[in-house]
Amino acid sequence: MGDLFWLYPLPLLAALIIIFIFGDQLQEKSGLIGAVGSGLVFILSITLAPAVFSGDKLVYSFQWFPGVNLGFRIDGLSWIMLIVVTFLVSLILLYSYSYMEHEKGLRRFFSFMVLFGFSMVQLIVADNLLQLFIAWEIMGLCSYSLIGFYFEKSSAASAGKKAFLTTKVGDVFMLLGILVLYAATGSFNYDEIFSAASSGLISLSEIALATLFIFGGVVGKSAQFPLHIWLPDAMEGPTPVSALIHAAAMVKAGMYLMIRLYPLYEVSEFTLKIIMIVGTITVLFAALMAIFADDFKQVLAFSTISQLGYMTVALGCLGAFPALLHVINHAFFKALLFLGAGSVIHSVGTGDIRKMGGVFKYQKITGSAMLLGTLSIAGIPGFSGFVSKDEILLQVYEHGSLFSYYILLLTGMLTAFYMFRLYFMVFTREKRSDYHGHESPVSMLIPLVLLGIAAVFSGRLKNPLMGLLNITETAHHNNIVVYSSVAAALIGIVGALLIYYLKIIDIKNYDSVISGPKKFFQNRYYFDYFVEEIICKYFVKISGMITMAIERWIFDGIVIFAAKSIKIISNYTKVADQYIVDGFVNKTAAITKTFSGISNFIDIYIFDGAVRFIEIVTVRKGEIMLYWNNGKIQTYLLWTVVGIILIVSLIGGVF
Amino acid sequence: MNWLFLIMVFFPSFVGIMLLVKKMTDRTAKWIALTSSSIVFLISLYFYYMFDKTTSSFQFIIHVNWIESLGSSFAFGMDGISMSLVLLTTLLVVVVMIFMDYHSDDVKEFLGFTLILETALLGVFVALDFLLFYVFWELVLIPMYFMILHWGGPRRVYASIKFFIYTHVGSFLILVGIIAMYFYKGSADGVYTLSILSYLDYNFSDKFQLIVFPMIFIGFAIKLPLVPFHTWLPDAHVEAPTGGSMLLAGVLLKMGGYGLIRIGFTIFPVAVNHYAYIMAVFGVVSMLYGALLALAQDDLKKMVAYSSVSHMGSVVLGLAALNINGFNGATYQLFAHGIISAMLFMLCGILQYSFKTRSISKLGGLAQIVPKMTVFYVFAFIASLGLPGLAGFVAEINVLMGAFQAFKYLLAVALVSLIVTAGYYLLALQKVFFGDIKQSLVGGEFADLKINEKIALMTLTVLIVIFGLVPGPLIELFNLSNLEILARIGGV
Repeated sequence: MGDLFWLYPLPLLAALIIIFIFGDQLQEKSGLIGAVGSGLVFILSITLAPAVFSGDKLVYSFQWFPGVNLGFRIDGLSWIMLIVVTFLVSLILLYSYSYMEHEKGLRRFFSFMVLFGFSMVQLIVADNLLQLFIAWEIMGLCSYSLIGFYFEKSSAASAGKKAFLTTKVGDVFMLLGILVLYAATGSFNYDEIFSAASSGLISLSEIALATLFIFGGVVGKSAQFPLHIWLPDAMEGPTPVSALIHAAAMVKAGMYLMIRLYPLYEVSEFTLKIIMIVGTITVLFAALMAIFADDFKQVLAFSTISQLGYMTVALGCLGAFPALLHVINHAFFKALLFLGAGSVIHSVGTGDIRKMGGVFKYQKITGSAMLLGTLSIAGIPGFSGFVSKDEILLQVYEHGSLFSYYILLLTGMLTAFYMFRLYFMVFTREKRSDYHGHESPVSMLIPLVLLGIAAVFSGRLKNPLMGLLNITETAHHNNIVVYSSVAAALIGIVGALLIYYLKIIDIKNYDSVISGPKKFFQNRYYFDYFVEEIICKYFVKISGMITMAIERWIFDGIVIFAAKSIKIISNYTKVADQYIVDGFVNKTAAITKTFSGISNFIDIYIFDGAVRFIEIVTVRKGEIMLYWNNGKIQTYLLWTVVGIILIVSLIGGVF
Repeated sequence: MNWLFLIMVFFPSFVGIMLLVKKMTDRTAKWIALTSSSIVFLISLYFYYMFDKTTSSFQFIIHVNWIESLGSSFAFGMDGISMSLVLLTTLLVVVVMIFMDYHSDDVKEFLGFTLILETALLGVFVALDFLLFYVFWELVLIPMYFMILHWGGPRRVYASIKFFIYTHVGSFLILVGIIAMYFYKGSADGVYTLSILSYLDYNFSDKFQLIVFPMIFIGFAIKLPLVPFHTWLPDAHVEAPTGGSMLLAGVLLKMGGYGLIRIGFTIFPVAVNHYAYIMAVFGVVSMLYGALLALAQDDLKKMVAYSSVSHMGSVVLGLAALNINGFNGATYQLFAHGIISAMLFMLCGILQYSFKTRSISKLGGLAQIVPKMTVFYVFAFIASLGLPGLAGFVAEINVLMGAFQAFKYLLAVALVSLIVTAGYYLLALQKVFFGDIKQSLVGGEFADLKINEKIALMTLTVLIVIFGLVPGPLIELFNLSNLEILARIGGV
């Protein structure tokens, strides 16, 4: 069975084909088919556990076209990712089955959802960078069409476009990085690249460049500063899409790629430094926006960016394992939070948290599950988020990057604060608008409950994972780090508790202080405005003006000028033809005639004798002279030209 | 088999002339044209089936003495590169025939010209004699000229004359090059011949190559077209009728690429090495400049026309890389761009027919009016911007792989063009299809796809996906031919 492991993603593909063909008949049942497909892949993957835990690496490769091979590979890393992703995709599709019930365009929706999941699976099991890139880009397409699912809405269509183009900027860097590696090794295959790197076939500077460029792709897909701008807008899509993008696919693809290529990253200190800086900026930058966001999904989107920043910082501090751990834990609790958000929005009818409040009364299961997710992301001991966050903090501390460490600590506090702000505002206290709350249907609650359990226990995966990936030691335990991170989280929670639950502190009193920064953060630092309205718009305008001008006045201009000149010249030649050439012909005839006249003259008058000489001179002279002075311009012109030619040739002869 | 080969090349023009001369209804004419072009396509498939992929030499050779005093013969044959372009031509003509409906003006004559054009195009790709090559090369201009002139848009006279004269200048440069080669070789070894095959292993002196190659290169570059010799293209496309545009972008431009490979890069190895970097610069400039221009267009068809300039730039970039990835990428691009651009131009025509405009600023929210058309538009745009899994990507990645090995960071320019390409396509999609329905279109009756259009579009869609996922067979077709040319050039 193990030999055919590369066929294991086929159930997903089959589901995709079924949905693509019969989607219009199946309607929302497509979701169930997709869930079953993904579930089958999950189960099949589980059967690979013995092989993977015994340290085997399953590989299958084939020729795509002469010179380039594609292939599949399952080792510890791809196996665990495969398990997590297929599990989540399955739950998200099951959830969509009810969530999307009354929507139009379900064939399109589910086709792309399943394709999204299938691409992510392909990305994980690829054994080479080219195949990964293919899956990576197809995910970009899926995100484009799913974020823009409600295409009649301009904002949704723009958000899809923004996601595609922003990530495309990163992708181009990534492609360049892949090409650097390919040019140096002649292969896209991970193992071949790694062995070339360790044998010194690729120089360190090339590795540094390649890893840096590839990190560019990660910045795009995993929404790191400054290419994070697409992710907050991505909430324009239906909620299951957000769950898929934030938890299972897309943003996790970037992290997976870096962990996969970590043997290369490890050796390039410069790249690691850049990664750490980018991560550190992102962590805080996004958390600050989350505090002031009033849209349920937007808060979660900012928190995703921030949490991804944690992973990036860890990767910048040689902490691939903590990063992976956080990728997995975050996947579970973020899927939970998004699906919970969807469940709430579904019943309340709006995503604006200022209009919610008291939802717990109607949605006890959703509310309880969400509490688990919130506690997990806040980093409370006993929940999965704590485990991986702790690992990251320990790693960063041990690596000696104290500045990043303090930023992370601060962000930990902010995270706890904004997550509990969200929780309290949504689920507790009194209703702030008139809505009819109700609990969601079972097929939406099953995923929530399962994910709630996962959010508590996925942290326990740490030790088995260490065994799976042959990691013998992680960063040393350090009580100061652990206590300070817990303290930071508690401060955040207490802050939120005081302001939004107990309402002991009334933020209205501080309006004058807060409103400035609030506006700044709510407008996302005006960064999006700057990019979209200034850079992009002016780029389009100015580049258009310049190229159109070049086109019109230079490239086409020269051609038209040439054509016109030729036309003018041809007009002149027509004139010249008439006067010079025709004139010349006439003249030649005349000259010939004259010469014949002269010979006639000689013939008659010289050979006939000189007797009549006097008579000739007197009689013929008048006729001849009359001919030469015939008053025609061309005659004079002709003689002028002949004269000039004579003079010029004489001068030429002299000099 | 030889007679079958001749039938494939000349049969279309016989039918074409018959259509022009005989009286019949448009409906009959369409079925005759469709049937005969399908037969030709089947014959080309048969040749593909018979084609021996394990050799790089020319196959199905026909050689009959023709004008012996000039050393010219009636010589045909195909290698892998020709084979792929022959398949492209016969296929696209069938698609055009399916697409053409019999409700427009003078369909019978249009179909006749299309079939004559097919013969000319096939002739260019299979001729193994310079005189024959040149005759076919020039013959291509005539039906296309009439297609633009008679069925074209408002500025058709200007466009058709510009097209004719501009590309004719290119032909003239090629002709001068051929004559120079003819006399140079003839006076050196006493054999005056126009047989292309006998030039493929002849070594011209370095000086001769360095002087004549730029001329031939510009000649082909005009056809391709390469910036700055491209200005005939947007005008020709904007005015050309849809079927004409499809063949113009789908096949006519490929003649330039084919000529570069067959004549330019094979016969002038020294010059090619010498000018490689300059050609690459021309290539990347075309890619970026074409893309930026496409971004600035309001006319959808003009946008697509400039995107052709951009994509053809990558052909030159790939060839200039002088390695197998670059060459395969360029050759693949000829095929991939052929089917993708045919689809794009067909869609432009359908939109124009339905909405009487192609102006992006006058359209909006079309996805709600013509959902089926929208699906194909999205697909075609995504294919053209080089999404992995579709045919364009295979070409693009090969070109980039080759070009990076050869030119390193010159490639950055090409990569920027990829972003711009994604930009103009997605912007156009957003403005034309998504969001609210444009006020001026509300309440209007607009036709979505007709059945023949659906069939034609589906055919191309399926092919674009197949050639994107399974590029092996096509690359194997010309891989060896490209390797042999590279062996001559001294590349890898």
